[in-house]
Parts: sequence; structure tokens; C-alpha cells
Amino acid sequence: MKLAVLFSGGKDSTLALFKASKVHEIGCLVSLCSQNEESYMFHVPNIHLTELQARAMELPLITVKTSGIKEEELKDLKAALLLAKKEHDIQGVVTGAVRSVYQAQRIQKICHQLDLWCFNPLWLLDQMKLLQEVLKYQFTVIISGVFSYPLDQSFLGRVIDEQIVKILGDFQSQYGVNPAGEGGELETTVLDAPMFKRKIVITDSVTKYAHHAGVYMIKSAELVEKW
Amino acid sequence: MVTNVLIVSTCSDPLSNLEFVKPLSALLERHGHVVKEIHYRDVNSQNLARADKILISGTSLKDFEYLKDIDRFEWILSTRVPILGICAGCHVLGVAMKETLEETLLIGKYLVKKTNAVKTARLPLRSSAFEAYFLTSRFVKHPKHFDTSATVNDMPVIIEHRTLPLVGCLFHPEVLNPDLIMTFIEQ
Repeated sequence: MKLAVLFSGGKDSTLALFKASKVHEIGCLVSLCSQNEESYMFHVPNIHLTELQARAMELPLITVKTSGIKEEELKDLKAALLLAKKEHDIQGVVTGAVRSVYQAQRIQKICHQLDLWCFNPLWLLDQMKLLQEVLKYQFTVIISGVFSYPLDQSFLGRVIDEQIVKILGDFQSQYGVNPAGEGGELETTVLDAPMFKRKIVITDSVTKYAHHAGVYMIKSAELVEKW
Repeated sequence: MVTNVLIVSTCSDPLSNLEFVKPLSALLERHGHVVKEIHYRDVNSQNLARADKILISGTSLKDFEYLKDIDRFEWILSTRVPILGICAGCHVLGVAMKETLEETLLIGKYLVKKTNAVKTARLPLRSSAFEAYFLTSRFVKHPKHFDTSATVNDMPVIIEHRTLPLVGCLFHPEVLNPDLIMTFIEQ
């Protein structure tokens, strides 16, 4: 089956893509670029990097700008998936949904309307296990957004490694933080993964942080050969 | 007490297994139970003999291979191991018992209301009404061999066989109501 992957460039959609690619052909990536920072569905820092990530994986990318207004953005998602169906002959869609019933049900409905299969390979996956899989498969993932105490500026731009996973696990026990950020506590950006034929190196970035929230914005980056 | 649970997958696509079977396994293993996952085409008498409880999983909304293969579920009629059929698994229990499936479309959260029709209570419901997550395009219409213990807008969403230890649940309790699965396993 040929599939489109709803791709934000973060660890969840990239891990979902990785799992799907073991079973099916990936026809294209679909990224929705939300103009609304409050978007429930699609807002992520560094969404512009999906273009470079798609090139790194040598996969076609469909990028659609969306107003990000609640429910309106679903029309944009539907249009994007319809385009993927027409241009890449996809039969199904993969998402990185883990726990969000809000997201999952809306994507399921759109897939049903478009007669597409819908796959959520991370669905209900334990968040610590999700992070451990990211390490196991040797993804290079940085934290590109923090939005909850006790996550602070020091986490921005850091690579998720065993030490960070342990800290996030401790925060889960002490503060109830979702360690993989399923509650919106953190956002991530993937720089390298097994499907990447070249990896991403950041050449310029800026960190913004205030009132327990911040982002690590990648201003420029390039692809380099992998050893 | 540790229970040996056989999870029978209805998924024709291995990617769906991650979504509909693995969450059930993870839930049961977190509670210390022993789980064996098997595809419905591979069920044999040995697996059945070792099981204390059986779950029949759901699958993707577009997946109906299991209904074409309903002969592969004949063991449901002879085993006396309690079975909980979830979504597609509920369809399987209904069709295996010669009930009729009717088309509908339920995607997302719906309010489930308990009825007073069930005396056996193989799946006791603590609340008279609760939210549950649905992903289905079929339901068992006017079941003749099952009592209806819960409904959504008068549609049967939890059904219990009158004589056999079979419970069908049209929604996915692993998403919002994992306690229901644990009640079935541990009671």
C-alpha cells in the first residue's frame, strides 16, 4: 500500500513514518503550516524544516498553509490529503497520534470521507517507551519547544539522549509531566533518523524564552553526508 | 491472580496491529497478566486450551477481511473461555452467532448509557452513563441471542450472550475505559 505521512518534523510523526516504511511504501509527506500559534492540530516550531527533512529522506512533500482556525484547518487538511491522493496515488494516511482523541477522531473522519486507510502506529504507546524507541533506532532529535514547568531554557536545542530521557522520566514522577510531550509540554525537531539519506546540521538558530515557555528556532540548516 | 490472556487480532495489516492489539497487550502486561497475541488465521486448540480469557481486537475502519473469513472463528461456538470482542471483535461475535450487522458510522467520543436488560453482568458497568471512543461502521442490529447492556442513541454498544460467556463491545475501551477491560479480565 502507498501511504502519505502527516509530517510535522518532530519525533512522533518521524517515528510513525519509520514504522510505516517497514511495512508499506511511503508515497509522500504532508505538512500543514499553521499560521495560528493556538492551533490544536498543527502548530509546531520549525515546521519550515520539513522541506529539508523531506529532501534528506528523498520523499515528495506537500506543504499546505492553514489559517489554523479551529475546524477550518480540517478543510485544509482534507484538501492536502486529496492532493496527495491525486498526485501520489496514496491509499492511506499515517499519523503520529499517541493519545489525542481530538486529533485522532478528526483525521479518522477525513480519511473515511476520502476513502483512505488511517494508521496510527504510536497509538496509546507508553511515552517513556516512545522515547526509548527514539534512542534505540538512533534518531537525532532536539527539543525545539518547552511549554511547561519545570522544563526551562536549558532544554532548548538539546539532543534527546539517555540523560534527557531519565530527566523527563523523573519529571513525570515528580510533576506529572508527559515525558514525550503529549500534553503539549515540549516540541521536538528531528535532524537524523534511519530513513534519512543525509542528515541535517543547524548553521544558525535563535532561542526565545519567557514565562516558562520558549522555542529554539532554526534559522538556517543544511544537509550533510552521513558516514 | 495472573491470568493468561489470548489476544486474537482481526487486523489484516500489520501496521494496524500496533494500533489495535499492542495497546491491549501493554495494558494487560502493566497489570501483571500473561499475554499471547495471535492472528485469527493462526488460532489453534493449544492456544485456546491455555487461555483463561480471550480478547478479539478491533481493526482499521476500512478493514473487513475478518468478515470474509468468519469460518475461521468457529471456535467461538465451542470454547467455554470467556471472550470480550472489541469493535471488529464485537462484529465477529455477532456474525458467528448468526446476528445481522447494520451499517452506521461512529467515529470519536459518544455518551454510552447503561440499560437494565442484563442479568448475568459478565461485564459489570459501574456508571449509568460514560463517554467512550468509537471507530466503527457496523453494529449488531436487534440481537436475538444477546442482551444489550449499554446503548448509544438506542444502538446496542455492549452486548452479552444469554448463555455463552461472550461479551461484545462496539467501542474501544482501551482508549477511555481501560477499567472495563480489567474488570472483564480480573473478575
